[in-house]
Amino acid sequence: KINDNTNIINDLNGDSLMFLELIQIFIKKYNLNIELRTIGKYSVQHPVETIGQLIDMQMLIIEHENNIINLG
Amino acid sequence: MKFKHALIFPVFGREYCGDEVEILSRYSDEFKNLLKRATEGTGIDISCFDIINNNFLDDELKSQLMAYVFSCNVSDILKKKNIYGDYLAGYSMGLYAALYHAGVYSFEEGAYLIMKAYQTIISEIEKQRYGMGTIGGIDHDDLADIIAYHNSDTEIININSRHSFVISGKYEEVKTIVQHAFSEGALLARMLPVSVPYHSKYMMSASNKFKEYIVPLDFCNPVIPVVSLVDQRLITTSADVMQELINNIGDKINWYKTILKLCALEVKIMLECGAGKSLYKIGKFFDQEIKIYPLSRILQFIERII
Repeated sequence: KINDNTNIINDLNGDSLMFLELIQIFIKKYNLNIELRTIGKYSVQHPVETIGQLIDMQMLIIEHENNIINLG
Repeated sequence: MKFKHALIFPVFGREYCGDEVEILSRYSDEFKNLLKRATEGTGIDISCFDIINNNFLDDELKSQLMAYVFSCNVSDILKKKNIYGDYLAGYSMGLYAALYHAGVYSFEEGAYLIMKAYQTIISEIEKQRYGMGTIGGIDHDDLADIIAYHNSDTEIININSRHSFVISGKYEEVKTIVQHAFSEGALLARMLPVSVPYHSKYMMSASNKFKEYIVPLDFCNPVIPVVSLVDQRLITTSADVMQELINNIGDKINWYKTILKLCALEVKIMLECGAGKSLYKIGKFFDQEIKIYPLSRILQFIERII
């Protein structure tokens, strides 16, 4: 059962491509003004490993779009 | 089939799904025989292949031959079910399996060509360390800027999609570009498990040497058009085949444009004929309305439509 603690790589057999795909679907679905590389730069500072972390990041993207990189 | 469909043939990869042999064995008992025939045809022993314990992923030539064996096995199964494809395309070395499916040469001849190409490359390229990398999540111009920033000879040798690329060149330079791309926001940035700078300028001499070898050979005309990964023209004659085999060594390729070409030809369905699911994964980043089926779903798909 998928929950906030589900690990994207280990539990869902995910990889970087899947992560990239999820992000692109998300950007398209919500018509967000954010560059992929901004998300990448944010992810380097705030690694996303679980579904919960992914959801948190997506909430921040909706709220801040490209300014997400300026968050602490 | 109601819609136009294409058979696409993958290159050797960094990992298997693990169930390829089992899936193929449900439809054919030829896999072991193909291993034996490839071994006898090339002198390279791949007969002891085991997908878990002895999968040759650390041996470039054997990996290429294994990719070819898997793809040809799928090709044979589909042909028995009268699925030939309206068009074909081979991703990099996947070209060899595409040409086998198109009836250009026999299974053994294709395996031998793979071996000959690899040996020619190894003997011709300058003796230094080379590498390739895959980068995803940044734009082409961003990647080009990173390469220019380092004044590097690394080349972008393939465009998989709008945000996915393959680079090739000297190992340390490629590694530097990969690391820099990651720090610049590339969500995917890693080295590929190869030691040859395929499709780059470093392959020019190998390409010319390979040309000397294959020009005297006789190829049949493809019975199904093959879309060139280099310039997306349709390969329909033996002369076209020869040129593509030569170009496939040292010329840049463009998978994205190849897919666009197939879409322009009204292809709606693509079947990934081989091990792994790399082309299926890359296909998820296309805006076009196409469905790509990996091996694990091809054969179920075929049974539903027949």
